Amino acid sequence: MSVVEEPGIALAARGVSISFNGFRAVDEVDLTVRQGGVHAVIGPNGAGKSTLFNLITGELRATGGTVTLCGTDITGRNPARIARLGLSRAFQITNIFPNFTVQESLELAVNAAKRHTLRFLPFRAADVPDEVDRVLEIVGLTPHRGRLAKELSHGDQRALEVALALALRPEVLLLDEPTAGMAPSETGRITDLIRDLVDKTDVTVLFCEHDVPMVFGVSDYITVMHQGKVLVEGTPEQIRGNEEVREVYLGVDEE
Amino acid sequence: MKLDKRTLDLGLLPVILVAVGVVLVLITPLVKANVVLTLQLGTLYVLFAVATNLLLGQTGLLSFGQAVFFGVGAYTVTIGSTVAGWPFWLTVIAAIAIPGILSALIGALSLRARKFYFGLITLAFSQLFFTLSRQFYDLTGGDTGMFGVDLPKWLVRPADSFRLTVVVVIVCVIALWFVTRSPFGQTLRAIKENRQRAQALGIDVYRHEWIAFVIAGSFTGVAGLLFAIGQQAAYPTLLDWQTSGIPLFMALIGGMNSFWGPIVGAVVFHFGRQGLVTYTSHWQLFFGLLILVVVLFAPNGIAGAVESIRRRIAKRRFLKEKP
Repeated sequence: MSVVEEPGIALAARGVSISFNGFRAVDEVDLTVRQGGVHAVIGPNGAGKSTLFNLITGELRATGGTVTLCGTDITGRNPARIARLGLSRAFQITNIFPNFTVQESLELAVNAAKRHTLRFLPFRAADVPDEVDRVLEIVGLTPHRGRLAKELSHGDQRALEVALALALRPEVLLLDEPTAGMAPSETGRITDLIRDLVDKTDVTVLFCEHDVPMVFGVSDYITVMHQGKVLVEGTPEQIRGNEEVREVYLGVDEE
Repeated sequence: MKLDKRTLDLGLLPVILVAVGVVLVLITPLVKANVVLTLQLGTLYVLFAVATNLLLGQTGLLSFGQAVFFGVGAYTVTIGSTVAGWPFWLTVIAAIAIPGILSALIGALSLRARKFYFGLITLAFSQLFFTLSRQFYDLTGGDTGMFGVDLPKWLVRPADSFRLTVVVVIVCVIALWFVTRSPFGQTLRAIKENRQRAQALGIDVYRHEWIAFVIAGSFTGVAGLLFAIGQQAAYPTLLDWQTSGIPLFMALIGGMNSFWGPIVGAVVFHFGRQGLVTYTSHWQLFFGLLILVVVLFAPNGIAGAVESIRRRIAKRRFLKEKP
């Protein structure tokens, strides 16, 4: 089941819906993510952002609609399959391997990316160590490589979370509230990382966030969700000036 | 033992195992035949425990069906050599292949279920094979089981079968050690730590669990094969859930989170039981108490307790040096 490929579009959702006991948490959502940019999904609590992300990555099964990744239909595939096709994710609640060191975590992710997980002898593949070093360097975890994941600071755990997804060398990197639970002083580290990634590599980033000023600073394009539907979408300037958005979400304080 | 940065840390374990093996083989002539039989059983239990712990400790799968592969391995030897009259080499191949194939089938079915449902399905398979072994009297000898195996001359004496057991167990345990240190072993540990995250990394969890199940089942079959060769018997109890519990207890006592935990656990369990049986018929009572103490005070078993003591000493030394 392949859909006609639209050039320049990394990820597309068409009419995606899911209901929980009759409640439409995500209702006929269309989302078009262009290649090589930073696309943010914002919206008040309960707008359906995380649910939409779980539908895209296969954690939840949509009751309607289709999702395509670089022209390939990924609707209803399981999360592992979707990850192998080039869409990797970082989770909102830190979701790491607590008793793995940072080094081991990334070796695992790189092994998974390079399909080395069915090797039964105690040797690293030749292409693993350099790739691990590369990812550690990008996220700034090189000094902590020997530490257990559970012993890292919250900010470093968030960075590891992103690093795991990044190690898969995805086409699309999906970040579910990458700065969740971080002190405002730390969030700059994640935004710098996102901007850097998109500028230096050809990865596309799709993320959702609560921290609105941070979103405006880093995104190329923004989709605003409200009550399970897309309210409006556009560039940060367009969203900033939109009356509807101000009413439902930004409030009067936002400047 | 570090070769270059591609070799994963192999540790001292293979060296220690080989050294222990050499000592065991050398002292065999000095030991009485009935003691040799006990040693043989203890040695093959080490393999039983280590193979089972690939599921329990490494992957986080609690299977109550390991007895199927142990018992079928043993029965294949008795049936093959006695009832069917196969040549010994064919019996050996069958006793490795049949548990392997069975574990592929049982694993494919039971791993569809998760957590305790998985445990219950494996338990059901265990009871199924237990019942079958009692029904097919002509093949299995029913409730009494089968005693006596037609072995080649070089294997008839207990000392001979013991030496073979030592060599096979050490080779198999080192092979399993390599597997746990491999990218595959690391992937299993990741599945145990965080299944959802492993999946999000593109890892096909079911497939990896299935392969772990087949490896564990096949090596357990080898332990069963060694049982039949050394003890020259196979009976229905080898297939039931109590036998499945043996390697689980061993892993629990020794420490399932460490590779050598089940090895120590097997030795403590087997020889502890042998020792207790000579003094009291209520040995199970003492084992129950031991399990209770382990679960309450040393949840990571003997290996875990040793590790935490080692860490405490290192810490104290560190504090002394840097006042």
